[in-house]
Amino acid sequence: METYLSRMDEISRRDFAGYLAKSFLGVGVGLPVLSSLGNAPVGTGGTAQRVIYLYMSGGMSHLDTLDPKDRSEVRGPVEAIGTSVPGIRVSEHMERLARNMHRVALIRSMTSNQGAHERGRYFMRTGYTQRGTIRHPSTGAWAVRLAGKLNHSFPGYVTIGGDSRHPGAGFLEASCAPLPIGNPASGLQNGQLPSGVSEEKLQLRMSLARRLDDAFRSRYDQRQVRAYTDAYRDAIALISGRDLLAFDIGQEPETMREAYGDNPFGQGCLLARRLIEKNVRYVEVSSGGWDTHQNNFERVRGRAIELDRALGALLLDLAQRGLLQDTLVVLATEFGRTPKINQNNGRDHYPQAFSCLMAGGGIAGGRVYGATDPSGTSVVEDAVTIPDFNATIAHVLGLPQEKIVMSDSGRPFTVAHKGQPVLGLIG
Amino acid sequence: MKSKTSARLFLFSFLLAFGTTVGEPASSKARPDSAAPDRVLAEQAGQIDALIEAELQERRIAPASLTEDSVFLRRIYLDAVGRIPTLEEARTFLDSAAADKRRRLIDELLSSEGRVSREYDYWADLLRIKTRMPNVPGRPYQEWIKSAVRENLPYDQFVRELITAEGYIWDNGAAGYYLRDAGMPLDHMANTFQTFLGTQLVCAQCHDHPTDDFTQMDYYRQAAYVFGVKTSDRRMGQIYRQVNNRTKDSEAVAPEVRQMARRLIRPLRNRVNDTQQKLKLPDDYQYADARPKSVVEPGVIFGKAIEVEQGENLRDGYARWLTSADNPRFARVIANRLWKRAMGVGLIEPVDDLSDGYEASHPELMDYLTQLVIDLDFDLRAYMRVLYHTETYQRNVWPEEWEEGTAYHFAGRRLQRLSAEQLWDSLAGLIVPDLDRRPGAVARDRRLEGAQELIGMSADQIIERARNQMASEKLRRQQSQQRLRLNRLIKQARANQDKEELSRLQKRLRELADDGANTVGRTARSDRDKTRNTQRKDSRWKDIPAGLVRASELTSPAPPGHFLRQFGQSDRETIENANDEANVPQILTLLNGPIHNYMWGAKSLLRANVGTVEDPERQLESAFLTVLTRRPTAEESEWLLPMLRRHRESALKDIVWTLVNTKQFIFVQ
Repeated sequence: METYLSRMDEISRRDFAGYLAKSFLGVGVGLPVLSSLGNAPVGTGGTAQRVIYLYMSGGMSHLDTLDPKDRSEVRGPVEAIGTSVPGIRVSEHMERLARNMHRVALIRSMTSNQGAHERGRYFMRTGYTQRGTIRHPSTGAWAVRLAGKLNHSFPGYVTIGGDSRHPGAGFLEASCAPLPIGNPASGLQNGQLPSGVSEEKLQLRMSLARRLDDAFRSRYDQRQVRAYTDAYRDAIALISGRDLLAFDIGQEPETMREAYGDNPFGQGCLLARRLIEKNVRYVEVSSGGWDTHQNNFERVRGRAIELDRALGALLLDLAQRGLLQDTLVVLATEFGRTPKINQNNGRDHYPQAFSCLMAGGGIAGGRVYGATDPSGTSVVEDAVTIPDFNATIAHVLGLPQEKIVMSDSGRPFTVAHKGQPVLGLIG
Repeated sequence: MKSKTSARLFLFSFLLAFGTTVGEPASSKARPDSAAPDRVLAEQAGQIDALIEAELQERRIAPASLTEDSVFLRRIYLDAVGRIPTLEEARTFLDSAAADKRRRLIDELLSSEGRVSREYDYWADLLRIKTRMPNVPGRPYQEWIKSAVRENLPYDQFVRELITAEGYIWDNGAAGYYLRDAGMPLDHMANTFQTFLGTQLVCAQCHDHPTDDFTQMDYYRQAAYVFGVKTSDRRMGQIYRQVNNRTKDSEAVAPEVRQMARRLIRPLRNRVNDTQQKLKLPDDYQYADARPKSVVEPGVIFGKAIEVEQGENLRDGYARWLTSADNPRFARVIANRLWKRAMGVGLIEPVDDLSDGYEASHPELMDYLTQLVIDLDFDLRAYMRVLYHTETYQRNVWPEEWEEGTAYHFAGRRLQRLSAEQLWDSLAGLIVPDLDRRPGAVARDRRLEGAQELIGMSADQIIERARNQMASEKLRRQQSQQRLRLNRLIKQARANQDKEELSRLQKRLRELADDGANTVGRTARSDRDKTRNTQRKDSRWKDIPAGLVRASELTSPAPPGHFLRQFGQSDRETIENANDEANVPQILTLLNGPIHNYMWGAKSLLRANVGTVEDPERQLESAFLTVLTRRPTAEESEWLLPMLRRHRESALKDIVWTLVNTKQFIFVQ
């Protein structure tokens, strides 16, 4: 941490103009920081370079998507269908997934102990249960911290359509924080200098601003103040890097946009693919509306069809571009939903047993890992905890799971909180 | 610097002591809506400071010095009204020589319209207020919160009205409290506890609480008080089904009419009302004290038992219990929440998870503040007034960072970034004159229009009504197409300079507008909405984008990607879900966003106040006061003035842009 800080000072002392000039050439941008984080020794596993993490916010009903049951009082009106892998069945809403089953591993033995949304999401994204005393980094931030960026003029971590309390970088430095995109259709806004403002002018203005803030910065050497210093540096690198087209899904042919589905989640998955092509390390796309306490079957159907279309398109697209072997695709949610159908024809929160999936990046396709009992109530085989799930992502990415990173308060943490990678998923 | 601090402190405490020699007990009751005499106020504030200072002395920490006027000015505006002061407001305060100008400013701000926006933003985050709810519009609920703040409704009454709310949302905005969580009665109860009692029960919904002393049975017994409250109206539900059945595959009713009929009734099915329905334990209830599926008798988790009087619903008693001064957590939680808002850190952290054996960093102070809220009859405005008067509030920012999970000493205010709403409102305030009064656009909600008239109608009458409505909407669509066509032709005629044709077309357009008024005339718009519409035409705001209004006037939550969301406005999914983390899109907006164009627009306040100043020195001063609420230092003037003298307008734009992109702008000192 100390060397990191002294390096920051070095930059602030350096002539700002020179610093910017370098960034125009695409060199030197953020390097002082990156060299202290990046290129860490990579652990074992390590078949994937990048991750696309699809997050179903609200609690995806496992029974109506990935783990359909025969008993009618559990199943409701949803039928199961066969897939490209004999013997594996999914819900009728997941048609495209069914066709891609040979590329995908289902995990039907997820189990959590967090039944409230915020805590559940936090647990899933970080591998740690939520505490009042620390904010843990999300697994994407760990990936940037431990494996570094792949593309130095680009953010290492992007979230698309995320909720407003994403754990983000947690206690890690701001350079590990995700760049959030609210609406994939409008991409990254304000990436270009307004007309009449040249890069020289931007340079002049930034040096004025730094000078005005000199006293403030030295008086308040606090994490959040430094985070803004970093964010300004990254933003200027991005403006100058001229790679902003990667954020513009308008560049994609109409047929491709249609294939992913004309909705924010589908378009978000398409944007994720564009960013992965630019070597962004970790992209999360989230989709809400899964909290189906009421009217479960109608609402899940809508959500699931949207998910299925986007996921199917994504898997196929990545495979065709040769990106699937080193890109891990993950589908996650905070918990499943009750096998019992409630009086509002809904399903309530159910952390005891639910389903997720992984594909690509060294994951063995066409496999089902773990199982629940015939009513979907409890895990009867190969339980996977949330830390295990996160450890699997870490393992496939080759992140060193033993590596201890200290928080500012001097407490030791590791990626995935000592979870055991599920080796049974790996090919 | 330290010796100077203590000298000033000494002087201040001397004044305080002098002011309070006559001494009235600090607990003397203040009537709501009437400010306590200065003497009482000084004593209350002094008591708080004494408790903080005692602890500081023990820990041998010398507190930060008191803020100078400009720092105080910016802070109190942001805290009390949610935006930075305008140039005029800044000058008025800084140039005043009155000895009690801080007190006067606090009082003025606490009764201003700007405070309504600020408090609304707070409640919107806590109560997860959404403008668009699945079944009913959220606006009446939003308006209800705003008027409760405007009228300074005592907090206990505010909460009681939420908990006992009944009826349709357009008749009683407070009904939004239940409609927000329609269909989730158990979650709703857990939210009530977390919001008003700082207690997290949600774990106990499925099993005994792992860390607290609550059992699953406790949870169910507590929930039984409100389980009978329903958000759906049975009779309208029946009519809905009748309409459904009668129009399904019917040859007499077109599918569009069926759609329309369903749309018309839908909001009417959502009414908060009490039923006798009893809560039962879940099927998988695992403990020995009761059988699964057995009926649960209501009972409280802590505090005194609830007595429900005759003629009352269960929840009336529940609301009284929850908001009582005797409830061990009700006053304490709000006292601590508001303390955190003023000082940056709660005495109890986290503010909404008071588990068994929780401790306050300053127990005696926590008790004092709790009692103060009670003694002030839950007048939160009066309570904030006391906090703002303390030295503890008026000290400079403490340079070291507060680590979450450690006790804070309050030797100085915690450094904080402006909230998304404060930042948006401050930027909008650079541009829009009299921003606090500028109304937002009101989207017409057709679901509401005429809904009231449908109550009491039979299914057949509703179908008939739907048929008429379809016809009039069709007409309206045709008219709007004609209007578009006419406008196109008018443009053409103007381009061709064909005056005759132009006047003919314009006449036709006017006639069309009159027709339109007749067919759409039945729209139900409240008087307030009408006033808004007139205000929106106010010439001061003409040509300023309609979206530049206080955050409280915009859709809640703002759509993803909006400035407010970029800077961390809550998505309104969970309680207090806002964040203040840095990210790259924020910076791109501050660097390149359209806000910089608006600032130099024809009607912009900044342009009028700063752009037109002739004297460069005065101009520089105005720019600093407008954006940073302070005058430039001698050194800053020395290197900025030559630039401004030489390049005038272009340099001014550079300087204003730069000030907005300083950390001093986005942080509250």
